Amino acid sequence: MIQVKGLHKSFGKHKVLRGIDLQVAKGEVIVVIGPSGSGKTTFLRCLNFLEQADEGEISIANTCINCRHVTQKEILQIRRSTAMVFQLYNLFQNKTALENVIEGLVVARKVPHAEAAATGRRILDKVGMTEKYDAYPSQLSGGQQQRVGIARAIAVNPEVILFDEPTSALDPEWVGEVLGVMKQVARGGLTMIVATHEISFARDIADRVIFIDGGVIVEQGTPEEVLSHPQEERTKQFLKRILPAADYAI
Amino acid sequence: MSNIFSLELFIDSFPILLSRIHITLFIVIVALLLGLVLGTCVAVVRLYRVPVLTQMAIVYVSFIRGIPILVLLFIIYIGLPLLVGTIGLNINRWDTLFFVMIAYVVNTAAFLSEILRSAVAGVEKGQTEAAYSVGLTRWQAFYRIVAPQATKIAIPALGNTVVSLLKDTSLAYTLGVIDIIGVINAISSNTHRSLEAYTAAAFIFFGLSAVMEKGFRWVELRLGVKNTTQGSAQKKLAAVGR
Amino acid sequence: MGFQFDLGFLVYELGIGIRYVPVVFLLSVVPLIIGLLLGTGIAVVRLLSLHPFDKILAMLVIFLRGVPLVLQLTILYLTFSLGFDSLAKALGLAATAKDIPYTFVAIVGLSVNATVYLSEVMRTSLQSVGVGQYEAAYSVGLTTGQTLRRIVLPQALPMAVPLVGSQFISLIKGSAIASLISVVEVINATVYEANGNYKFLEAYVAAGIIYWVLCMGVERLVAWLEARVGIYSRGGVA
Repeated sequence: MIQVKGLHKSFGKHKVLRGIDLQVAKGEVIVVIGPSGSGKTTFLRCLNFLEQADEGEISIANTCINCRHVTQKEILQIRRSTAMVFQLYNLFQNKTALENVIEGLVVARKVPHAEAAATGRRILDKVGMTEKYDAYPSQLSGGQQQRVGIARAIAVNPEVILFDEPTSALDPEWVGEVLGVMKQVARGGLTMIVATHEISFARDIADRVIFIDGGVIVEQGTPEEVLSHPQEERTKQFLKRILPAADYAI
Repeated sequence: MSNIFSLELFIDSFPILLSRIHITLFIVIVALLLGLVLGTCVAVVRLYRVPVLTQMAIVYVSFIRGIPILVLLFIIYIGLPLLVGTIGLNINRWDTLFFVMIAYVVNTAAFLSEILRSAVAGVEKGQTEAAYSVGLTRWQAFYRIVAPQATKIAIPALGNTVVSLLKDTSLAYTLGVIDIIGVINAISSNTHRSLEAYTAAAFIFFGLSAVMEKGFRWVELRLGVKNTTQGSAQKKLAAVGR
Repeated sequence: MGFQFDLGFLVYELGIGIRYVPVVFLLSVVPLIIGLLLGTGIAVVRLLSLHPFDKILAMLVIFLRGVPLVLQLTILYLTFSLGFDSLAKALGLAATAKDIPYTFVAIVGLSVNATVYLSEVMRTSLQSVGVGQYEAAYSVGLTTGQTLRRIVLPQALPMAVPLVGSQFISLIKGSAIASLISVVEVINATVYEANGNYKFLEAYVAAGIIYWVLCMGVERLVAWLEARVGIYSRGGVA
């Protein structure tokens, strides 16, 4: 139910996306891997219009949008059916954890406050932040902040959650717990597109792995196919660089 | 419209006003230099908590920063001769410029002392500790490590103070100084029309402050001062400088 | 010749001056509020780069920032007196009400001054809020207006409060300049009383003390506000 056709994006003279085509089914977990500068972050940000693609079509649920001629109303529509988890968490500094989670519900979707708060608490419990409803981001650790970020994304009940390198900025001790929460979310049946370097996560949870390099999808398939038996040369080169030798040999 | 504003008079005002620019600049430069000296002394007194002098310094800074320049100008102009008269000196005949200068020095020193104090306090304590641990004396640590860093922190606020000082000198005419604004009284009693001259003066002051701001920005760039994002030291400084 | 300072007269003058403190408030609080409203508006226009207004406003702000307050007030005062006739007809003012218009001119002039400074204060404060906050807000579906109002502005406050307080103090001291365009306020009042006995020093010192006390009061107020507004910006964030 997500369809992307012919996505192109340049920043000035630098062409970052050179034609991305993708189809995502409901409940699928897609993991996007690729070197820095390959365009995976830009791709994600084009999906919720934090960047506007130069060319291409994006359809999410029933809304089909032409990136070149998109209206402000359509952008808002797309943003109300997607959610994003950021590398730097980007929690609202002036709001508590609970307020962060329900902001999208109360303000953007006009959900009554009591109902939103109940939903918010329920989701914060699910990500293990029960004690911290009223804590401000400055009082939370990195891992805790990211968990709130994930809760905030889940709360708005989106068609798809976009994860932009969610664990790259975390201290190693917190990476595990955040990945754990993400696995929970995946098992819960939510559609996810995750850009990450965590290959083991891809292996455990992804339905499909996509390798992007130089602005195009080089290869895609099941984790088994792409990670253990890559077909393309570029994929093999990339994996050799980031996987310890033992893993790759399997 | 030429009843209210005559473009010709406006343009003609410039040469006359510019001929007095040296007075304005003189006040600014002298007040800045002497104010820096006095301000440093006051800052040092407060940083080292010298007994008695510190309390006096606190009152001095608080009072001067809390009164309008206009009031200060007149207090110095009327009060200084009276004060000095008690030791037998008669300075009533001294040039008004002298009194004006004293007033601006006293004013600038008060603001500068706060900026310097905050800047020194803004240098991390760890720097001084590291300096001692490699064997530097108190003076060396201050002179070689703390002062340079404090200067970098202080420069933006210092720049603001100088531009404010420039604009404050616009009140010197109330004591009779014939500077850029003071000379307008002379012109307008001739033509009875001063609006054009005042507008010309506005442009001149804008030009002067633009030049000064550019100058300070150049200094900031050369010293590598980060002006855009404000750290907590900068934030306090911004509140302190006027 | 001894230095005679008449404390009794000083106290008397303090009593005279205090009666005009409301005028000082009028000349500082009103411009402050107007300056905050208009200044924030200008800051938002410049922040969001709304052409061509942002460029025009930027030029106006940069120019006016370099003009001393006394010139701003004098120019307004002269323009106003020269155009008084047409203005009086338009507003239906009686020609005898001379004082009120001058206070009005002073308020306008001080408001312009305040707007210019506060627009810069709000601009830098708003800029200090990281772009990640905007992105997160957009990603949960907030509009630009909602984002600015609910997320960005509150986070700009801790930085803005001390600067706005500093501007309030500047306005209080700036109101003294209104005395130069015939507005009846503290300085004019105390000096007038000294016309009889020539004790002008006591008059100016009294005026100074009144302003000093007012400024100290505002400093206390700002310190209290700073403490209240800073709760969620304690501690660092990744």
